[in-house]
Amino acid sequence: MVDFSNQPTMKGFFAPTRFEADVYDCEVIGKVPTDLNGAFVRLGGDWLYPPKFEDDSPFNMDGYINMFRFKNGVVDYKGRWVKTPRFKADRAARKQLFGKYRNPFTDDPSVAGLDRSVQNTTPLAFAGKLFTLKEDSLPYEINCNTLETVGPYDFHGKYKSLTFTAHPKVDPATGEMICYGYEAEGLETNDVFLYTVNKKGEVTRELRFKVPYVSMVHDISITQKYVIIPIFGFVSSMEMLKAGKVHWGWDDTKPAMVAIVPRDGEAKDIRWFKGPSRATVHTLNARDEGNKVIFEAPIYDSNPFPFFPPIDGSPWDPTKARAYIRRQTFDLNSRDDGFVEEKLFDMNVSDLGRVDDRYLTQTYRYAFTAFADKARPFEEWKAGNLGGRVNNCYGRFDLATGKMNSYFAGPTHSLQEVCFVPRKNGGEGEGYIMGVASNYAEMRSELIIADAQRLEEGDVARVILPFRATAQVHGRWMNEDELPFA
Amino acid sequence: MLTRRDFMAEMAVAGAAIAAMPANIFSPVPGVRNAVVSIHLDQPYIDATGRELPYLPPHGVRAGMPVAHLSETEFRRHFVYL
Repeated sequence: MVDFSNQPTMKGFFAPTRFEADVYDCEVIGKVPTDLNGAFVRLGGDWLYPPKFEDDSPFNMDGYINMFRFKNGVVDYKGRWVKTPRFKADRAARKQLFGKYRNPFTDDPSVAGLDRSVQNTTPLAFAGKLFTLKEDSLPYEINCNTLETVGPYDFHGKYKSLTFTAHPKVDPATGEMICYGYEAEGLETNDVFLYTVNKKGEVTRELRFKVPYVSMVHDISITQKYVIIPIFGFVSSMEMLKAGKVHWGWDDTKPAMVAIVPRDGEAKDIRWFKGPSRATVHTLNARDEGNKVIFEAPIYDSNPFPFFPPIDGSPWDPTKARAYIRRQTFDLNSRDDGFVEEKLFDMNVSDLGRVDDRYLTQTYRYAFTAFADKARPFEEWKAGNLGGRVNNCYGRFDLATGKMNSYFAGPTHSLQEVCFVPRKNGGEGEGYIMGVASNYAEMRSELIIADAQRLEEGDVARVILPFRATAQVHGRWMNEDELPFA
Repeated sequence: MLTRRDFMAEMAVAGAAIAAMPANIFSPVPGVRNAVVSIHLDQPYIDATGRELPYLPPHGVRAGMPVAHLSETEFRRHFVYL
């Protein structure tokens, strides 16, 4: 029997939902733009069964993929579990068999050797296929019409890493995907395998190299000549895992390091730069300027995740878990390993930032992300006291002028990751922003669609779900011509 | 829109007015009934007669309340991206 009653945080809006759903012709407030044809696909997690350990990471939740399918101004919704071997094993046993995040030593012996992946991080459309991504395993192919799980995918056997990033980058000029796996040869190995995959889905290049210490390599950026790979204070070891801990702990003594890897070079050509303790979990964009690499990202001062605690036993510091949009400049002519860092905006933001992907590798102007505007009203008597822990606005941050325009979701809402959808043949930043808002007063999720150039005017449409959609980690817009939609 | 600050100010004024009322003002109401806060058309008001039911949020409303007591560390341990 399933019992979540001893999970003190899985209550109210945050209770597991655990069901699959289809909503045909969703209720809409406003008017869905008819030039939006395709799907907004979200991936996140929910607990099918309660975690075995109270101090487990929320990154260990079972993957759940869901899709708002747009066609000629109407929207249908579909949500499905990602049916991994792990999901199927738990379901058959009617209980949680798997232990802590990326620690097989904490599993029930009956599942030894089974694929532990939960596929809960990022959806990807590439080479005509839909995938779910989780950085501890291969991608899983998903049927884009039914959202049923097809299975793991290794690019016709040419992708040799055992793991695949949640954040590959597609070069808009060539259509190539730059992707990688870390801990590529197995648990706790310090190998990174970096790949180029052409737009037909064929692996065209592999580069193998080692990182200075085993660390989270969650996201990268690309320029036309280089791949920028940040690593930072999360550390791991086989001893930690055998002691029954989650995969990562935070080591404040580790410098943040950034590898500048030539896209057509060898491992010996990699430059490693060192900087102050930081956490670059997600990136925005990068570009070449002469012999300099300019890299921008919402970067945390320190450890953002209390469920990956400091290894020295000190308490997690929430005041350092704040992300600011920063620019880091790497001078490839320099003889030392330092780099220059600037804070571009003084306000802290969600680190789930996005840009107009057509401008990856190029000079660009706009970054989009969510943030908390404390000056906006929050109606606690309707929504409950969340202590200000809501992202009530999406912002368009103009990196050229330093100006910010914002969209306010409402006095009982919190916004998940923003997505930018370009208008066909439009210039940079012309199009829509899209993202799911949690409405704590109505106990439901609402998909927000707003004109990216008129954020202050509010949304042009809200697609209403009559229930709470599972929490998203990442969502991506997929155009009608990217996938074989029915 | 009624802000929380305005609501509290109105409550204070209404409370003072009720306190100043003669004790027998509620006499037409059978039994001992106290003034209650109620809600009509999404706006709170003081029901001095005590006839209405106190405001209880419908099921699902105040959905963030169960986690309101959590410290920042506890909250972020369980919820990364809201």
